[in-house]
Amino acid sequence: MTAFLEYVGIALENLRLNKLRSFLTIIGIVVGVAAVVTVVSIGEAGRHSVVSEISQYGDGFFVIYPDFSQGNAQSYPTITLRDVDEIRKMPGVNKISPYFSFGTLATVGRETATFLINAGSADLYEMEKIELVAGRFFSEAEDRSRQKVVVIEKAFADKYLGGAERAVNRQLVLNNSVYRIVGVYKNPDSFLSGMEGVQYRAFMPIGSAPVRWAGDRVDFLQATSYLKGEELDRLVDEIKAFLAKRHRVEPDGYFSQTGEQLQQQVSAVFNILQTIIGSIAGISLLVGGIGVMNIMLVSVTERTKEIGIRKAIGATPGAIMGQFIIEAVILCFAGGFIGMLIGLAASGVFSAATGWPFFVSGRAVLLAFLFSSAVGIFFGLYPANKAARLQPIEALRYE
Amino acid sequence: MIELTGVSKTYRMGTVDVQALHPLDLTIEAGEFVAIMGPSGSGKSTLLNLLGCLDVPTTGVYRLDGKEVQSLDEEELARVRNRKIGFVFQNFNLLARQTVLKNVELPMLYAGVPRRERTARAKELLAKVGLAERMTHKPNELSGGQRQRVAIARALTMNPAVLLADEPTGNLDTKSSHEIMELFARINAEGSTVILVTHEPDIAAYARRIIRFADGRMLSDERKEAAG
Repeated sequence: MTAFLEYVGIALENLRLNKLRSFLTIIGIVVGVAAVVTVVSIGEAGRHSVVSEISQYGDGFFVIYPDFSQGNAQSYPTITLRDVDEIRKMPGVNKISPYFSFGTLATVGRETATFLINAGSADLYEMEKIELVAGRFFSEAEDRSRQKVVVIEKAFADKYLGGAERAVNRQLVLNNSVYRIVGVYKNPDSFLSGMEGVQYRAFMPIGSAPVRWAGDRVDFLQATSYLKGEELDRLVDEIKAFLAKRHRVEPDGYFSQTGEQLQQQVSAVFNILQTIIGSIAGISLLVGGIGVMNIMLVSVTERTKEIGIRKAIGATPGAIMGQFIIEAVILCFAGGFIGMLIGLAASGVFSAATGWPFFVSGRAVLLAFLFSSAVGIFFGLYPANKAARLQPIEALRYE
Repeated sequence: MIELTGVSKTYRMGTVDVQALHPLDLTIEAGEFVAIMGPSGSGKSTLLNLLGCLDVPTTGVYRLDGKEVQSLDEEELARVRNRKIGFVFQNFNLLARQTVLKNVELPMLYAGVPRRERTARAKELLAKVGLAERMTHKPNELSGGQRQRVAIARALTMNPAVLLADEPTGNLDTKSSHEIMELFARINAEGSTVILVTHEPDIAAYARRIIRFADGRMLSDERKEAAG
């Protein structure tokens, strides 16, 4: 142990005497580790961001939608409003809403705007975690009695109606029907928001939608349950079987997805992405390692005389080998540490810029340390072995 | 102490074998002060390298301090060099970037001596060679004679069985040369075996036994009763 510390001392001394070279040598490692840490940390942040967005719906969240490619003219998979009313009564179902989306033009005075309207039940309020800034959400009674009411997003109210408060109770012409604005909500700052372009969003009771599919068919249904895991999967299968029976199709005529499944899938995709991009970043570590080996080889040649002296006074090949490996490992370790700090700083800047959570990945940090030390040992091995095998007389003669 | 039996050394230079040292029998007892003389290429440095376990003989048996060393591997040879042999070179061979104290400690580092003990022993030896005041200096801040005295202190740290010096005064002025030789004589008087290679007769005169070499063969082996 004392000998080890002595070698560390010798190595540090030597690196200190060659500051510029040591610094240039570790740049490769610094860049490599910084790249790996940044990529993994950003990936981790992305995963958390997406997963937490999905998990907003709660663990018992699920959707069921028909596979339109199946069936024939007489019977094909579909979900209707009556189906949803029946499913609402099934034990285990908590909140439920049919979901029917359509685009339409809205007229306010002389101006027109495009809306993407989601029509459903009053349960959407809780399931979608809608954040009202004025007024209220539509009620179940309004849905049943087909009241022409609508809940619009704040961005529209701000632009055309002079703000959220003033928008409430104003009229909005959608698809030539007059609707009363009962509430204004704020779109959550999502990494998905802004992707819709200039379309505004609104919610309305499905009973009062200005357009409808024949037979009161809907796009899909979304629901929540108190059940979890396998019990939830069983409930979803039961609902699909129920739907299939009602519409006289095979049970596989319906797709379903639970929040848990979605989280797992998203996680899996992020894992793959992280591994691929991380590996590409890892290549720069490899290049950095080769740089270290190169400099270590130069160092061994330069210090041939010193190696000869050390051997003459009793340094064993093992001692010489240890000295050079420790030097390489210290180089790579220092590079790894600096790279890690830069990587964390870079992901911090990235998270500040994108609003994704800043996530310090312990795995990435550990990986960076292990990898850079391994690079040090691996690429230090050959030069160190070369030093250890020098013949003392030859080495002493070297000038 | 040192016992060579039929020891020879042949180098391969390209396709030609060069006999640097013809088979040789030589015995050196503990406490002797031996000078090996001869022109360059006479085989005297080859002999010193063999004695110092920096090289192994092509043939023959080399018994050092009762132990055969001609067939040891690198690791074992390093240990023999560390514990039984002290080297002094013509060009000092100190580590330029380390302090005088660290240089003297170095053999003990490889022997695994604890730090405190190392420092104490190194200070003691530096005092002995008259450099107690220069411990924290780097070798390039010292004169040639002082550097050689550091090298001698380093050679003595492990209490070696034999002190080997290869042209120790070759890079020194006359005054320093004699100071160094006085130091060797004193060390020898205290009981250490000293073997040095030189081609200067007035340096060899300090020794009590002079062995002359030419063309890889021993020419003569003279003993004196008292140092000149």
